[in-house]
Amino acid sequence: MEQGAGAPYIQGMKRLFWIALSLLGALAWGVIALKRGESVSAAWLVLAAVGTYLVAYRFYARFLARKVLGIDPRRATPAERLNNGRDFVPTTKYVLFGHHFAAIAGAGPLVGPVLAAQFGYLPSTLWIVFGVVLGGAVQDFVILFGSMRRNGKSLGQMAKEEIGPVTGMLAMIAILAIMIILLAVLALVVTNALKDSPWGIFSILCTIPIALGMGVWMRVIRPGKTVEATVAGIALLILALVGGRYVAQSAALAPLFTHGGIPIAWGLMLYGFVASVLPVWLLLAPRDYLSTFMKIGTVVLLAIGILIVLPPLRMPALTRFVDGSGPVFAGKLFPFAFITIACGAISGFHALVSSGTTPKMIRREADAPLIGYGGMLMESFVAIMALCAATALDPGVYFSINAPLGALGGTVESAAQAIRQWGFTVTPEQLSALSASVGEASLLGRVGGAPSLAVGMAHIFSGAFGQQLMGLWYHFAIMFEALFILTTLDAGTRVGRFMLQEFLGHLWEPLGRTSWYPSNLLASGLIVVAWGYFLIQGVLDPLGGINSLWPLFGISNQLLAAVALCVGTTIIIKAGKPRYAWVTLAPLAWLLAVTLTAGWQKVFASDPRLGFLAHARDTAAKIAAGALDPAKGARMIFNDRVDAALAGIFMAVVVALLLASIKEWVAVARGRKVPVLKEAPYVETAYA
Amino acid sequence: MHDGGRTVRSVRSVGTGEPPALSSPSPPSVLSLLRSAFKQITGMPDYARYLEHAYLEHPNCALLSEREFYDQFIAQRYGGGATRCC
Repeated sequence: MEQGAGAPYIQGMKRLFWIALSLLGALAWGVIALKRGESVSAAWLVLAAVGTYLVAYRFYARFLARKVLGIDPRRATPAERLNNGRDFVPTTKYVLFGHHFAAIAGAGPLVGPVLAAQFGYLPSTLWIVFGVVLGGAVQDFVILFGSMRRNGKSLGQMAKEEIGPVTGMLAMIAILAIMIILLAVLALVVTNALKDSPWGIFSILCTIPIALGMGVWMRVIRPGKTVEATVAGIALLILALVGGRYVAQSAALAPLFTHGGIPIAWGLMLYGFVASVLPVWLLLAPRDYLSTFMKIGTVVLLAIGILIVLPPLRMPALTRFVDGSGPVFAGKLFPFAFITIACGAISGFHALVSSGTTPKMIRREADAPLIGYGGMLMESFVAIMALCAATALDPGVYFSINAPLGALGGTVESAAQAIRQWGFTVTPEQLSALSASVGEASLLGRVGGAPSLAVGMAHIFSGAFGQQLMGLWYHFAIMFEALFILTTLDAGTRVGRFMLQEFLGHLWEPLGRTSWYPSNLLASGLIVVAWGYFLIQGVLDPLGGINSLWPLFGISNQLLAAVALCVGTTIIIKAGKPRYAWVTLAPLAWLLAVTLTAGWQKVFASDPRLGFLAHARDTAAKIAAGALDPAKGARMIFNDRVDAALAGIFMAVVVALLLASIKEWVAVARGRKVPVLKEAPYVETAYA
Repeated sequence: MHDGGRTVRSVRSVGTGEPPALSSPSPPSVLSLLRSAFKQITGMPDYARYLEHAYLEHPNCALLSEREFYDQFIAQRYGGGATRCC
């Protein structure tokens, strides 16, 4: 953009702007890192993050676009060449930015930073901001570019074509595995947010008939009138939210909607199964519209709230839990801060979206940096906001919600006592007053991140928009998270089903037919049983489940990112630019270090809180000593071994994939193999 | 939001039945632009855009009705891989 501006005056002003912005960002980082004793304002976090994003976008994204990838503004995109008015559609870049952002942002960037806040705000901030600039945004951009040059091919197809069939197969397994763990952990987050909460359960249950009604409206009554149906749906959602309070206060209705973890978990599994075999128009599409709208609306609202309130961060920069003794999840700062915050810094899942609908909608190649790189910066900013919301809470309150009940005890007195021993002060009265203010019987031990994020958001919203509505804002935040997690359960079960049917089709052809109902029922059932197994395990886990499941999710997500970065590196090397391969190799090396260390520790660490096998041994010892029911203990030991095996498989897949990629890179570098990119042929664009 | 920056006026009256007769595109109103942007961001089918595309590129082909278009769009969007992240 600066090339056309000839006047040296404008040039100078621009240079001055970037220098000033860089200095401001550096000042903000200095304040965050060095200020001790009194609390830091969230303003500094926001300033440091935004300053870094802008500088990175202006300089690094441009370097990637021009030097590394060779974006060609004259080259027609698939949206232009294959325009069909349906999925291949040239789309204005700011609209597509919104579309892409809505597709990549979900529960991940909100929950991860909340959990990692147990280390303090500093490590998470550094990883979210620098991880995205050097890793996550690079991955999204490179994969988006690769897919755009290949008519919108998926990550799996690119892995198969550019590296080899074995890698393609491994990528498929990785995608299926991450999907199952992701669904289990998200379902666990919802379960923990809803258990014994009639208000929450009522308002979430209401979303189902609302979505069904919208589905019928949009297809049968007034086909295609999606906007009016969505607006009506949102109005009904808010009504359900307000109605939830009356249900919770009614002595007759409240017991109907009060359930423990296990019934909720079974309910979610039933929902996932039924929803994923219903026609898409009836439930999935309307839910998707509702949750996308709510997502964008809430993110905007949260940004406004944080900017109005600019809350002081009460959590210290670093807590004593960097040594691995933290109650929220076990493990030291390295590698577990980097596993816990997956989305928000780098998320392999995005590679699926960046090689899905978005590349088919890019109007001009020159738009790709804003959408691929810029979209991910925006997601990182969501993670920063979630971190602000969580660390603005009183640390005592934060730990009372996020530590498992096993560590807190069942009463506010025992919880206050336990938290005092961790070095934070909170009174039993404070804890009782908090749960009363949000209309819940108790917030103790509501692990999973969503409830504490909701409390943090409710604080910010009520600070910005009115103090009296704390309970309503809390349940608004819970509903917002549960709404799109339920959508993910449906969509994810469906995606898993398609992949499973592809595998099963090789065994017996009819099982591969997605139009054959028995095959759909079987494959959906298998996927639901798979994630349901981990979900039930998490609900029963005395450590809260998040402790074992979230790291597995983090590892699998980073594993998928490693797949994506291997594909990206291959594309760059084959394009004849091995001297720039470090842009993807550096984040790949970091991810491998993190994933393999974390995986190893989760399997083999001798601390029973951390290592799955050590926990199995510990449980066996407890059974032998008569301190544990043998049947229950045997089940726990079996679960530990399944988790250990899964972590082992993840690590094996990473290593196998890396070796296959290195073999390909070396063959190309040594000249043994002619580098042939499987790009679509060049056509000149008609868009000036 | 097609490059022509125009939209087909007859769309708004369309209900369940037959596709509208093609008429020449007229300049879009602000409201229709906003509606189109909203649909594209949230991943909804945009029938007006399809009609415009059909008018410009395939003037001699049979048109889909709004319901047929809706069904095809949805089947395509949710029939494959992941469309949204965690």
